[in-house]
Parts: sequence; structure tokens; C-alpha cells
Amino acid sequence: MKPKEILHILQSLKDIEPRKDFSEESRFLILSTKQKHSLKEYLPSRVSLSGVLSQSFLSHPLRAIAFTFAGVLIIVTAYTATQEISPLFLPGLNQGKVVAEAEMINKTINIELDRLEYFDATNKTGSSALNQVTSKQLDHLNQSILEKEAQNIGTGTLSPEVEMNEKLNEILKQINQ
Amino acid sequence: MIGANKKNDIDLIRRAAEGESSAFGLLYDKYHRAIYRFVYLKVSHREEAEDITHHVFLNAWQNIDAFEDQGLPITSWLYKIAHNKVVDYYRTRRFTANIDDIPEEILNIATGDDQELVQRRIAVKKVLEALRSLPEDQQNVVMMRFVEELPHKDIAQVLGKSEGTIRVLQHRAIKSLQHILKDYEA
Repeated sequence: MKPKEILHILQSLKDIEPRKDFSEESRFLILSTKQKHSLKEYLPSRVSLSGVLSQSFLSHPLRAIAFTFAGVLIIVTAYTATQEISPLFLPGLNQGKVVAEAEMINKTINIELDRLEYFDATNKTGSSALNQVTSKQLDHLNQSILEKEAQNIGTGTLSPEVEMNEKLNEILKQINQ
Repeated sequence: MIGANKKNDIDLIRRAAEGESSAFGLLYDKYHRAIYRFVYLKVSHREEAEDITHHVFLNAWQNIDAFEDQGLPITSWLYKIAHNKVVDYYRTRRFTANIDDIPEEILNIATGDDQELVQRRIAVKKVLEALRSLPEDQQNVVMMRFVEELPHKDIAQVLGKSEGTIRVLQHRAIKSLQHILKDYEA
């Protein structure tokens, strides 16, 4: 095949075209599809609160007025609430009376504390006595009573086993002599 | 061609990136036939070529904001997308091109003689087979130079090569085609 013939056939390939139905349908489908937008498109290059606010306020002046009004309202409300709640700002307040009342409350608290201490001590004594009565051990008894009891036991008659042992010892001594 | 329309194309791209679908519609009308031909000559299947072409423009529309004006024509971007789609197509489907499916519009001849029509069909088939046997960069140069009739400068921009390289590739491609088709008499 000659080069001219080859080029002629190659040029005829330009007649290749998609079907008209396909072109129209594809065009419609593509253009009805949403684009994929990157997030950066919606954000400024450097994100800052002042930048976002200034951009927002510049594009919407009414929004700026509304924000300013809301800010003033918040400040006034906060100031008023502080005035109402704090007693330091009450007009005509007698400080002497406040101090006397505080001292009275303090004294009452001290009296109540003394009573609590007394009840605590009574409680401890009572519980100790109850322990002595209910316990079967003799640890709690008075040392002098215990010594007297021991003496009484020592001066009393010996038991038959002990008496027997002593007599046997005497017999042994005599035999040895 | 590209140089003359470049300013207009940039304007259309900017408007399309802002969401103006009609602007992208104009770009579609302008370039979808060329992209379809480029794809068709590589896959040799009408429906597959239409499907790939659709996805090329859908991809371009959805990512039009990613296109950055670096002095290159939009055709460069579209051909690159098309090339990638064709590569994906062959990678996933392992489809072998069916050259028997030659579009009737190429076979339009004045006489309407059946014998001439058969000879013409065979000649086109031989040329398409020879074209597909060339290395890919030579195929692309032949398609753009002789089918799309783009000047060397524009082909160089689209393929990212120098004009000198394009001329060398064109020369080698024609030599190779001649060599492959030397035994065939149309």
C-alpha cells in the first residue's frame, strides 16, 4: 500500500462519530450529575474566627447589626443579674447588724458543739461499763481485788494431790537419812 | 486550533468550575467526538467506546476544579483521562479488539459498488491492524496528526513532548505502516 493510500484511509477515520442518541443522552446525564467540590473551596486559605466573622458580616450587614444588639443585651442582662444577686450591692445595708447576727450564729454553733462533745463522752463511759458487765474475762477487774482473791486461795486447805505429794516427800527424806 | 480557542476554553473551564453546567456542555459539544474517535481506534468497539467516552467527560465534569491552567489545552487533560480509562479497560476486561466491527461511515464510497465496498473494508481493516501494532506514542501521533489533523505544536502540548520529537515519531510511524502494509495492494 502506498503512503498516499494509507494517509487517505487514516483521514477517512475522521468520519467516525458517536451515535447522536448516545451524545445527547451522555451529555444530559453528565450535566445532571453533581460536581465533586473540595472542602477548600468553601473555606478561606487561612481560617480564623475574625476572618470568618468579618467575611460573614461584610456580606450580610443586617447580621452584623443583629450580633451587635445581641452582645449589648447579654452585657446588660449580666450586669443587672449581678446587682440583684450580690448582697454587697444592697442599698441601705447596716454592716454592724450583719456582724452581730454573724456572731450570734457563731455562738449558737459553739453551744451545739459543746453539747455534742458531752454526748460523746457519756456515750463512751456507758459503753465501757456495758463491756465490763457483759465480758467473762477478768482483765477488767480491779488489780487489788485480784490480789486479795489470790491470797485467799493461797491460805486455804491444800488439795488432796498436793498433800499426798508432800507426805511422800517427807517419807523419802526419812528413808534417805 | 488549540491556540485560537484556548482563551475561550479557559473561560468555559472557569465557568464550569463555578458550577455552570452549560459551559461544560459547550466543552462537551466541542471535544466529545475527538475523544470518542481516540477511544474507538484503541478499543474497536462502538458501545465500549461510548461507555469510556461518557466516563471521560463525567470524570472531567466532576473534577473540573482540579484542572489547573498551566498553559496546556484542555484536550491534553481529556486525552490523558481517556488514555487512563482505556488502560483500565484493557486491564480489567482483557478484551481483544474486534476489527471486523468497522463503522459504516468510514466505508462511505460514492459508487456503492459491492466489490469496491468489500475491498474498502479490507483496506481499512489492514490499516487499523497496522496502526494498533505501532508503539503507543506513535499511534497517538498518527491519530492526532492524520485523523484529528492537529498541528505538531498542539500534539506536542497534548503529549507533553517537543515538536521535534513529534516529527520524529510521525516519521517512524509512517515508515512502520509502510513496512507492515508493503505486501498489501488496495
